[in-house]
Amino acid sequence: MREGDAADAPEFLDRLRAGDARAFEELVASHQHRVFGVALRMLGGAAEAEEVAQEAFLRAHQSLREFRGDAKLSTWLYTIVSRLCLNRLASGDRRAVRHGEEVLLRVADAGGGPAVHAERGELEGALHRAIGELSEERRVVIVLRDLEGLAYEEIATALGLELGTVRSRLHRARMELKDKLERFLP
Amino acid sequence: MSCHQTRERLSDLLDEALPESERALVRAHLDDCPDCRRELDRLKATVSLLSRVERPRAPIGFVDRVTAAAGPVPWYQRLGRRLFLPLAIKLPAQAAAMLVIAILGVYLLHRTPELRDAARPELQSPAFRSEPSGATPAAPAPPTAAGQRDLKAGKADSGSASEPAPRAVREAENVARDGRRLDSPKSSPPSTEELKQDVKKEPDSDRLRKAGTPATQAAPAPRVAESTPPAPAAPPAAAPAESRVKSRDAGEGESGAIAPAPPAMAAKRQAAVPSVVGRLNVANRPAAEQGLAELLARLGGSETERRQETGATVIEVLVPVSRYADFVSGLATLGTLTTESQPVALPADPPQFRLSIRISE
Repeated sequence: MREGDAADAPEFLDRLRAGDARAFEELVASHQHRVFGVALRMLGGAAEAEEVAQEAFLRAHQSLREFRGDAKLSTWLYTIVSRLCLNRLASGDRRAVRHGEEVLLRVADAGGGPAVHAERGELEGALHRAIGELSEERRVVIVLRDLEGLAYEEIATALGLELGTVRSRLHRARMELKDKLERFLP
Repeated sequence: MSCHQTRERLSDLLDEALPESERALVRAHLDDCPDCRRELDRLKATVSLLSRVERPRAPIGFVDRVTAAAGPVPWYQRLGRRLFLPLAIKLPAQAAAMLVIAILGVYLLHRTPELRDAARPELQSPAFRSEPSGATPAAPAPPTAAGQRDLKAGKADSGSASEPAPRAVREAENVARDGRRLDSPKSSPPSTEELKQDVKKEPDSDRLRKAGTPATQAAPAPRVAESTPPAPAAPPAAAPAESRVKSRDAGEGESGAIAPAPPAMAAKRQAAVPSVVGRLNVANRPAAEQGLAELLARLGGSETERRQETGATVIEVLVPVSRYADFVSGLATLGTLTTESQPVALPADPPQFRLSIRISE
């Protein structure tokens, strides 16, 4: 199974563009956790995250013929899922939920319910909660950079932002998280 | 560099995203500022904590659900994609397909007697018959030798203001003319005179009606009567296509310069025509042969060939179309007549049927 940059091999991209169903299955299998992870961190609920992640792959499937290969395939997928999440969060219904406490609990419990949460311990719960409390624009940057490991340039490409904006938002997000996680720091 | 400026750059410093010049300034400030160093350590610890966050895993069956949703493309979408292939692929493919269909159509027309029969009414259409007459400016001009050559070659006479007949009719005429050339004893092309005579001829239906209408008059030989004689101007229905093609290729040139074929060639072509039309079972073969000769003499027919086979005599005869019914009736008095194929009509004047009678005891 292909993983990461190996998916950008020209032969694999050609198969994808040609509509090879097996190649698409490989693509989903190798990127499913990343895409789902971004959706879950951004949206908080597993069901909604799965829905958005699936939508992201379907959109990719429809647009594979137009994928020129300028960016990495993984960056392209991050772009799709990130924008889907931001669009959904920006919608009116979604924003009403965003301001409630429910979303924080859902983000905190996002890994799989109370039992799992208890096992992960207080630290991880606090981390999830802190991330969930970030603003959407800061959260998406922190997710892509510190959780998914994208480079600044990739984040700028995925979100359509200037590089300086990415740096600024990342710094603010980290500083905010530092304050929220104060008691876990040395 | 101040503490504020330094702390603004701590995140970039951690990610090694600072330009070299700025990095040196930040490092210099951190060396002198314990608060900023502590801030850097706390930020580094925060990022370290984030790196410990467990990456969530997609639910079991996620891949299957996505691939199923992506699924096979519906047939109408696939059809649409194929229809809208790039023109560079689609046009040559369609052109090739049309060419194959056209060649197949011409091939079938030449190979299948039924199709040629079906094209026969077009030969008798008024448009075709009016072709030779060119007395008035409004009337179509008579075909010239060059025009006939074009017709032979199957070329469309595009741009001609005096187009005498639709293209399909002219192509059918071409086929019929070829057939006539091959089947005529003289093997001569239809001249303008012949075409003018054709104008005077009656339509097929009338002629067939006058030809004795075997269906109503030839009661003693019902099987012959059931087979309606073909139009006289038509080529032989069962003539082998190979012989026609060979004859055309080998013996004849352009229509305007065709000379009458030598008698040997004409005889050869006649021999290629199906030999047996009817079987006549008689009690006395010599007597029947004599009776046939008398019948032909009475009806204005003639015997063209006679050959002996084992236990039978095969006689090829020509019978005027108008006396065909009488001829069949006369044969029925000589013995039991069984037909095997239709008689062959010749474009002679008057029209004649070529028949082959196999007399056996």
